[in-house]
Amino acid sequence: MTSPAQPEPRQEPTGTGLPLLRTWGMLYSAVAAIFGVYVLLLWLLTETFS
Amino acid sequence: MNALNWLDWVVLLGTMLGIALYGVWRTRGRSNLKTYLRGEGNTPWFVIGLSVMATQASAITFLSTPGQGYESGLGFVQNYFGAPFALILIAAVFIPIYQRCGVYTAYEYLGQRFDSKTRLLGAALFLFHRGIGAGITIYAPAIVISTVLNWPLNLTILGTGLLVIAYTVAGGSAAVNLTQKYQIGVIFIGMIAAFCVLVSRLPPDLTFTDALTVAGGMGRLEAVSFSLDPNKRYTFWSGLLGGMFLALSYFGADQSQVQRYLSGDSIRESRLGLMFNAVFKIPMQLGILLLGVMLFVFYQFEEPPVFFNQPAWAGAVRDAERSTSEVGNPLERLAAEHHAAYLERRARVQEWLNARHTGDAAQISQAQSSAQTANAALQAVRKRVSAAIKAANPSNPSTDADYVFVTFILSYLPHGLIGLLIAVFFAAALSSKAGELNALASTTTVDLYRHLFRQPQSDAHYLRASRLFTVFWGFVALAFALFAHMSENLIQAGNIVGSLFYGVLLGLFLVAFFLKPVHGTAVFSAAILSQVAVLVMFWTLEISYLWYNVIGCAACMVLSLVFQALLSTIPPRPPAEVSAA
Repeated sequence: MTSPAQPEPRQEPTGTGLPLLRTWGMLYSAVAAIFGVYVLLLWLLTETFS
Repeated sequence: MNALNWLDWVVLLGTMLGIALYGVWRTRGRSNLKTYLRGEGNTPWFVIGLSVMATQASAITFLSTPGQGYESGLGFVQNYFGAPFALILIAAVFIPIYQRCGVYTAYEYLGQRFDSKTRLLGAALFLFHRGIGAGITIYAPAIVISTVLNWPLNLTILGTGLLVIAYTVAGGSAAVNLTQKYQIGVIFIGMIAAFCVLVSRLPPDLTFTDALTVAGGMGRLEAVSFSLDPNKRYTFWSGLLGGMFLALSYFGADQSQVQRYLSGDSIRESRLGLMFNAVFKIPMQLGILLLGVMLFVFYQFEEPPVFFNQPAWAGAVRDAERSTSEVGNPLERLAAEHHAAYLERRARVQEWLNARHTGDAAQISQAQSSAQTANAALQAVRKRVSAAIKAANPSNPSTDADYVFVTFILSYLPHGLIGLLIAVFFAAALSSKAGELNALASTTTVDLYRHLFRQPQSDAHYLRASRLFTVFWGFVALAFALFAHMSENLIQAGNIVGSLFYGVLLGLFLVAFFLKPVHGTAVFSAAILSQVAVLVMFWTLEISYLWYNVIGCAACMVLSLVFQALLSTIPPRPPAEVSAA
């Protein structure tokens, strides 16, 4: 069986650490911003109808 | 309520058996251990996302959550507020490590980072609580469906249990991913169809704004509360902190989830699959809760049953008839009171809606107040009904929230759609259960069997072992569901057991990722001591069981540092901790 201690080479995006960090960091920021929009909309729903 | 007719049966069996057979057929002839345990290795991110979602959303999510919306409104959605942040943390930190190490299970990584005993401890904590949970996954929907449809409970459990064992054994992780994709499709189609039928059955002159006004006026639209009151059940803060903690444990340290996102061919696919859930989990839960809120509005204009678990109500009426010495059955008197309270509430709600169209603020306020008073009166009758049912026979259930949605389905949906919605509940049960069985078998094969019996064997040998362990855990879950005679309290007990072990399990991983100086012996000792402390606290204190997630994790991390500091004072020996893969 394949030894898990010897991972197979994976096809990852090439590039230096910093641009990759920026790319993923932007995605994570976008997800956090979407969460902020959800909370804002739910808060408006609460305030409008309660 | 309607019984299933031939069309419903065709839809139900066609959907369930069709998806299972397709899964087996598409994954036939795959006899590679890696594919069996980790899937094809080319699973695209959206399939990973759907698979993660399907594993988490069990049948009870779709049965109970609308009832929760009906009873308490949207506030429960706040429990999921921490999930996006937990998923971001897992995507950023956990996934690259798991993928780089090429592990089959999360606990295998603990062996690489620490030592063999810590790996076995992590695997044992997972197997214990998930093994119990797998029984509940099958039992909880079966008890509700078999009650309302008058099906034999054991046959329902056996039918769903054997079906999921069959296709999980045959196709492994690849079959689980494939079937979950279609099962979640059935779930979405069914839930959207039910929502559309529900909205179409609201009174024609009731606008969507009117419906929201009625729901909000009755306290069902309080979706966000920034209250700091610790006694308030759902708040923004408890959801954000407690929810993040729970999601971290579940998505980061529970093999049933880790296995799903490890099936991607790269870090990118796994991360995007989790981000899919970070974005869509809250809207999905909100949609299900909103369905429950709309059911609440619907039952302002259609008379709800006295007790939504109607077989339990009928049984209690019979019990009361036999045992009472009074003239007239007290439960029947309560039913008459319920009817009168319903008519009063409907009239007051209609007056309120009429007043809204006059634009007179004072009149609107007075009419709203009257409607709220009438609603409170009806809720008071419902509480007395619950108490009377329990008094008639202590073994009767005291709550009926789980039966609200299924009662609506059987009473108001057309045939065909009824079959589809029953299929939704079973699809959700099968998809969760398949993910759990797959994870239990992988952990048993990789972390116990292969690890403890070190004589190297062929891939084919371990593949056979994986299949056997899938069958073994499937039958453990079936036995638990068939013979445990679970009550509502026992189902709750299953959740408690999870919380007692999740905290320490997460603690092991957080120490591994973030406390680099800590070694195996320190973290192992800290985990054992923390687990004992959590169990002692559970037996001696009366705090919400959710807190044990936080306590177990924090204790494990702090004690690890303390033990490592103490061990560092001992003169070093030659390095004995080697990679335990």
